[in-house]
Amino acid sequence: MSSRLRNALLAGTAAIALAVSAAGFAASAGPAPVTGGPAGADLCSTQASAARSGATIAPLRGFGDCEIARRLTTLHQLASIVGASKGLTSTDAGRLSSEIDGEVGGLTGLRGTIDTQTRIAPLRAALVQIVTNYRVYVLVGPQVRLTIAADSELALKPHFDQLATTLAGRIAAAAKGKDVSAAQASLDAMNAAVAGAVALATPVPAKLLALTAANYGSAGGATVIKNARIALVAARDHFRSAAQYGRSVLADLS
Amino acid sequence: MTRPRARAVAVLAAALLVALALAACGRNQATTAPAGPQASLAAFDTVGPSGSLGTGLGGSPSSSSAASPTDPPDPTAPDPAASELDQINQLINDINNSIQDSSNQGGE
Repeated sequence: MSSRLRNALLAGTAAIALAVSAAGFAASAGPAPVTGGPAGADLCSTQASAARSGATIAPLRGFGDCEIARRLTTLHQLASIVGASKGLTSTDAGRLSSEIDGEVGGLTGLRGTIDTQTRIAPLRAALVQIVTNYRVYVLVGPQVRLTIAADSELALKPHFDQLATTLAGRIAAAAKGKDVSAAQASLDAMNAAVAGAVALATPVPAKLLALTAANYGSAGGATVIKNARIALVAARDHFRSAAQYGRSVLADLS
Repeated sequence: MTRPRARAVAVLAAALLVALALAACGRNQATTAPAGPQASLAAFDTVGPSGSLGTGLGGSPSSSSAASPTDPPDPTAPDPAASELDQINQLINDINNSIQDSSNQGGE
């Protein structure tokens, strides 16, 4: 294979990897992607056009630097979110922080490679690694936010347990003078909804945290994340119902 | 000097000594008091207007008006169970935001 053909194939691979990855995410994610912001794919559109039109080192390097810079910005934002989260368990916070630190270190090193690479073919290969080796937007971002959501949902249980104790006491006190069957039914429904929500949310953090950029494809990362989101939405709805049942208990006793 | 008079003078002298000793003791207490608990509370009061620092040690104006156990319940106070439910709803809203943000990250 001639070097020219090899370069053309590598260029095509790099472009397809970035484009397909973005398109695939857009199709599976639901809401429209952010445009123009640190996480927005449009942020590097100028550099992307230059890289496509000119087969020289400088535009390719500029494109790579831009794509890495926006990822580093996103990773720093995610690190702040993890640090500020009250719902995350300390174990999960530590794992996410380690993962983010690893991504930042790896991407910083890759930027050094890109900035010093003087041959086009290895430079294009390095550009592809920005996506395939790190997966900041399809994996790390959802992983951080969904793990926070899952841990926060599980952290609701003690609140509901305390509430259930309070409401059971009020029902017992009111039972001496009135029919409390409706209030008791609402309390039972509240407890059942909480149990259902906890069952949905409990397996999610471990499944999410088992994903890495390296095993994202083989482990069915996109499906794992999609199913995690579905489970957490359902758990959220269970908790909302539980809260509504709790208010019904108060209304029934008033 | 007769014997009864001498005894009276001795008693008076003893009483005078006791009074002097008590007075000296009182002065010592007055000078050592600021090093005790009052002084540490004053130090907390210099930290902020309420001086509480969240420790409950400061001289917050509201502390003197706290309800006593014998006071009747405040009918305008929020129901603790309803407040707990409000807090839960807020937490659920935060969770919802995290779920929504997870699918709003932009393209790879």
